[in-house]
Amino acid sequence: MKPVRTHSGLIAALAGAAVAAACVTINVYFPAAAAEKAADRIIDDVWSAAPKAPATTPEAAPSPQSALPAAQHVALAVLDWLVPPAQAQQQPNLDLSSPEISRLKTQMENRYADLKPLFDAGTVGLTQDGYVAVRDPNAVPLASRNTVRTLVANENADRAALYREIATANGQPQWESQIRGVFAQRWIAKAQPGWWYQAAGGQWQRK
Amino acid sequence: MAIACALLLAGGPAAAVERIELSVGRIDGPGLQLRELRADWQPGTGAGVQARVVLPAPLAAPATVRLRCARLEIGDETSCLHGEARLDAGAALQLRASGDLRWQGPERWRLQLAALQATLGYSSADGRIASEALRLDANGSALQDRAGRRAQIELRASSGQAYVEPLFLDLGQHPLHLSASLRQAPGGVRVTLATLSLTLGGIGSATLAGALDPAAPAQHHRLDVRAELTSLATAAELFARPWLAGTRIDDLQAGGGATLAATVVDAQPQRAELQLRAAAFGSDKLGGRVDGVEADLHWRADGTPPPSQLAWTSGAIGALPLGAARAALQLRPRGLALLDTLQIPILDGGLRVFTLGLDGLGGSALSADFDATLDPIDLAALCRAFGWPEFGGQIGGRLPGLRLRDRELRFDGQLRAQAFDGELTVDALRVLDPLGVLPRVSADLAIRRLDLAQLTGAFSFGRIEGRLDGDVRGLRLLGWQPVAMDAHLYTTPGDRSRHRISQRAIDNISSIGGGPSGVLSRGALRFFEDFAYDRIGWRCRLDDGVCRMDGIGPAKDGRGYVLVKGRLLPRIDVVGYNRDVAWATFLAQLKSVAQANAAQVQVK
Repeated sequence: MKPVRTHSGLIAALAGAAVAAACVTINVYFPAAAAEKAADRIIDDVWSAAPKAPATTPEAAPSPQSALPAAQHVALAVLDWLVPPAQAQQQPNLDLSSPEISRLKTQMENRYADLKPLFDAGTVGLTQDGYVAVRDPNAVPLASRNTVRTLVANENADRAALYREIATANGQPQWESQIRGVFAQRWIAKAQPGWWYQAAGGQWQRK
Repeated sequence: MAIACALLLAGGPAAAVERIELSVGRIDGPGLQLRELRADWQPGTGAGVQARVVLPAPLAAPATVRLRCARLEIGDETSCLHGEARLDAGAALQLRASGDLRWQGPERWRLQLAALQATLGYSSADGRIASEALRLDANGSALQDRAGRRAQIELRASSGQAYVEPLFLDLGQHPLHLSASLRQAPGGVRVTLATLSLTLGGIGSATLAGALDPAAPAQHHRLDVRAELTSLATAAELFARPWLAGTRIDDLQAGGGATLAATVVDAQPQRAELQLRAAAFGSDKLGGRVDGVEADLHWRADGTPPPSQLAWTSGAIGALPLGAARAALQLRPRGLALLDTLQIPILDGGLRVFTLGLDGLGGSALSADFDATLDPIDLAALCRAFGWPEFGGQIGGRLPGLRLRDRELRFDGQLRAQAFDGELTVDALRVLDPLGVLPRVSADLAIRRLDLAQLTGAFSFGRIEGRLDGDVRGLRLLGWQPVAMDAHLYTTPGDRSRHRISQRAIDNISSIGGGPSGVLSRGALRFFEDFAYDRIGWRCRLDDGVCRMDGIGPAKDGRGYVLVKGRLLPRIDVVGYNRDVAWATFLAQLKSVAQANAAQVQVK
């Protein structure tokens, strides 16, 4: 009887350890798809804040969407609500509603009016790590080189804070670098043609 | 070294040499490449050398060099008199120099540089260093004899622009004048900088003296600097702000003058003395400034310097004016400590700082210790300064230990203040990222036994008598605006004082809650000036711009919540129905009530 008891005790201990281990290990996987969507929402907001080009006439402006009857919109919204996409059920959205995020976004929206001409001219480009950098300093007159430098430094300070705040707002501070990585790709993907960005190897490329 | 040359001697076979010409196709040496070298000598017209070179880095530009001596005398002493040198590297560098060289050997020579003009238009590939049409004028001399080498140079730059990241200087606006004299003992390598004086127009001047010994086993470079800044305003704009880009004080403004004396050994500062005269510093982004700053600061890399003094005549933190103050400080290698109690008048009260210690300045491990008391300040004056509705009472209290670690300012204990005969305590006060892009404040507040009569007295909200308690948990401020909190205000439990609420206060409470106003003034109740109440209670859970409201408890109808519970007859209950109110709307309503009633107060 005695060896049997020892044996069963061992099994119980092993089972207990296994259960304990199973309980302790919690893997929270980085929701890459949700992060991408979140990044797109922020990027759209920040980069749509540009002052309207004076060349755009009001006749050319109406978008096909606003031509849709309102009822259809409502119906679609109801449909979306009744039958949510399967993906949305499985993958939680990243929370972007923290006041810190809104504030950073507003600061970046305001700065975009100054940054856009520099993106257009290729003076400033998008880096592979989610920031902006002066690509061609020699294209800037000496007297305004520090203005550009300050603009880039402020934008990068806001971007760094934004990545940190999104991770913090979602209770996963360790996601910061992954969020930055996702943003890095999305900034570049959403950049306008003619803007410069850093390819994976670090060399500058024109979109 | 590869040399390809052709020598041509012209002249009759028996006659003296009339002309010598030398052509060398190319000379390649370490760091130097010469192409198409041509030298010629004629007894009448002097001698000349001409070549194409590629200038060494960082200029790295192709150039032509021409050297010409109007009179070349060869003998015991070889001298090139009325010499002229020209270098043409296009827009990168144009150089023209004239002078005399007398040469008796490498141990005895003398160069007199009568005039040198250079125009520099350099731009490094990475754009960090650049100049545009930078014009330099110089003259000087250098000689070597038994006493060693000596050189003296005078240099002026009065037009063009220079950029050395992050500093930009327009020399047209701030002309530079530099004069230097250097000495080197015979056989030695130790260079002594006898004097170097530098004047930057409109900013100030500096003199440097020192010694440089590249051969010493432990390099021993010593430099004494003495700078006189006549305009701190310009110095801050040109030299300080570029370094502060991306921080919250990148709009630093300064004024007044300063004198700095410092000793630097092996690029490490050893001691510094700084005097500020009628100086001023301010930053709009940070929301602070000090004026009339007089300072006498002494710092040592090791050892104890004499005590330092710092005083100012006025200042401000945000809208809060600060009075004149004087501090006695002891500077440490990477920090400072307060030697004596520092008294800073604020309105009719003030801040008395007993402990102030800073360590790890300039590093990421910056830490601070702080202990102070706030002598009572008249709240009405404080509210006027901030443009708030005027409250009566005083605010005072103790500011306990404060620590700054990891971009977070944390108060160790409780912050206590007395106002409206009650007590306010602030717990877990933290300021995150105080100098960063996103400064935030978080705290828990507790209010005990606030006298509502005093609070509502100056505030034109309507009169309420009684005592109020409150708890505000998880308060978060962003840009001084609350963005999250769980606030609960309620009548002090067990309070035996008189509980009365005026008609106007009831009216205002109901109109802020979105209810009708003036209900009481229309019916029979209009004859009552005020009413007795049992309890008041209001709760707001603020999150994401929406305030979720509640009161003492649910109303009888089950839909609303009770804000004011009446007592005796005529009994008035105030019931709120709006649960979710946009915080901005709520504030706007509160403000409009305060403004609308301000007129009524004057009529009365």
